[in-house]
Amino acid sequence: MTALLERRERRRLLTLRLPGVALIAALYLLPMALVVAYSFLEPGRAGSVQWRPTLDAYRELLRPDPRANLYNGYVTLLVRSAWWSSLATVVTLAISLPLATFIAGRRSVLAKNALLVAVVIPFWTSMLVRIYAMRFLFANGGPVNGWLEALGMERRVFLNTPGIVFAGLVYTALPFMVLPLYAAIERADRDVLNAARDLGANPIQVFFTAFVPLVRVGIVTGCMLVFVLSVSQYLVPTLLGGGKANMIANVIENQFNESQNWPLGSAISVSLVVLSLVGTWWSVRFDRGLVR
Amino acid sequence: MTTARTRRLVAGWSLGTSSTLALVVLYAPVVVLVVFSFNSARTGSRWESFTLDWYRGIPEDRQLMRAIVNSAWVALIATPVATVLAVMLALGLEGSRFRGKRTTEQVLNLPIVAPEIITGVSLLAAFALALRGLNDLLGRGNADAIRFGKPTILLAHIAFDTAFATLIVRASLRNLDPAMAEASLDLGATRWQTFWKVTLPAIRPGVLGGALMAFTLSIDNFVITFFVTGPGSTTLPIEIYARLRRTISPSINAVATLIFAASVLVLGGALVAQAVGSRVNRRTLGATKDKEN
Repeated sequence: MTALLERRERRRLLTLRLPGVALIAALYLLPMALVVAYSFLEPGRAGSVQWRPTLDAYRELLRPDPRANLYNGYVTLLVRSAWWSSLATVVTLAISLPLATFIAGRRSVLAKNALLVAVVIPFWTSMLVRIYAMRFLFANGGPVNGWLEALGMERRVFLNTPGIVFAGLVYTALPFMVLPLYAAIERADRDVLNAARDLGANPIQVFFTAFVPLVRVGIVTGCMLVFVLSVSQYLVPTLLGGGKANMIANVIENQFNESQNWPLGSAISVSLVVLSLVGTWWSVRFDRGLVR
Repeated sequence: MTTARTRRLVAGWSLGTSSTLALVVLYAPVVVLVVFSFNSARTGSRWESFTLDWYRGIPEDRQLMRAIVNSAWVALIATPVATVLAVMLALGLEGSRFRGKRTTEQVLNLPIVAPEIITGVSLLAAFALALRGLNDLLGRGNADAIRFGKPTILLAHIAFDTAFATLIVRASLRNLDPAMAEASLDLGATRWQTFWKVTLPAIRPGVLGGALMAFTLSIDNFVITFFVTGPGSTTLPIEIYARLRRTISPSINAVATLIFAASVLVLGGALVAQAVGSRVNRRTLGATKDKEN
């Protein structure tokens, strides 16, 4: 009797889960498997594939000087995306740590909530609007150049440089770092910090031997989020780099849309996923204390 | 003693300064954008005078209005569908143990962890294949073929909306004491009655939060939509993107300001709903406790 009831209950729960799981599997798992399969096929006409297995796409990916010389090598772009994103992750962490600590340290609930909302608003608003705002601010005929002129200085070209793309990466990633950090700091045991201080540790020692281990989960989560977000950024390099400071997502889009070489686009996509997974794997190792 | 106090004061002060700086960085571009959306000058390099002209132009811009309608259409259909799926998923996952639960959860997390560009191109590839098959099957030629457009956008949006909404609904279901539903069942209510009268009222803030999140994600999404859109189904972010690649015009500032304002309003609504919801819950629980005494 109970076995029957239990089986019926199991079936009921499965029925509840099934539509959602099936939808997401059909629209995420299968398409991603398809892209992996496409990366081993030959390109067809007008954005399709020929079902003949080949490693051509990966050979093209690894060519130091590919036919489309526009992007000075896909590997170069992959390395550049990884490098900029790692750097952006570190800078974002450095900016976010004091902010998260400051918010967590507020005694008044109102001040704390107000500051949290201030961080959540950009997290919640359209990435496109935020990046556009930056593009507007730094445009050649934009406010920053207007202010420079008013101060008697020369106008400067900010847009379409690696510098502004990097700044854009940090700017878009900031809320993604602050929120997990804040959650970790809020949970951390203050007594450990006080004990370290009372036992004579200097502020730098307190920071590295007590504070960082306490909030490690937040640091790891934040870094993972920011790295994966940054390394695959499409809007930032497109709108702020203007084709002159491309990242890997730009060539993926280009292969799928303009160049219509889907196998090559798929191979670059696979390499981007591998890159994100390496970043995640490294963070997990760090979390387990295997890397310092 | 004094040196320790001074040190602490300096530490606190520098923490406050660097935090203020971080917040300024976070807000400066958007604030400048909002201010300049009221600027009468055509270029953004100097302030001329206050005007509402750029906002007045929006309703007359038919292409823009069509994009707004498309965006609203997608979000208004995707949100309820995704919310229902999310509530079902949350009910089927929370408090149940089964083989393959971890794998199921990992699949459900894919929309949250997968880079948008990857989702975009894989959906492009998959929809292209599926549409080709479908058109062959229905014997549709070039003239009447089913193409990329609202249906593909809608499917993509429902998928990622569901994943994010599930996260929020599950969190609120986790805080619910399973004894409440059990008591209702023991007292003879059906599963359906228990859901409507006990479970749903208790998780309502989470459901509302999930729905608002889904709505915002749908309205704001650019990258994934960009790959699955088709002629005649341009959404607002796609329209804005197309325009700002061509030129920087103050009317985009006005539209961007409105999008920003809408996000803030929706977020404000979600926070208020959450706060009111938790207060009501506390009061009902308090009342039950009083009765017990």
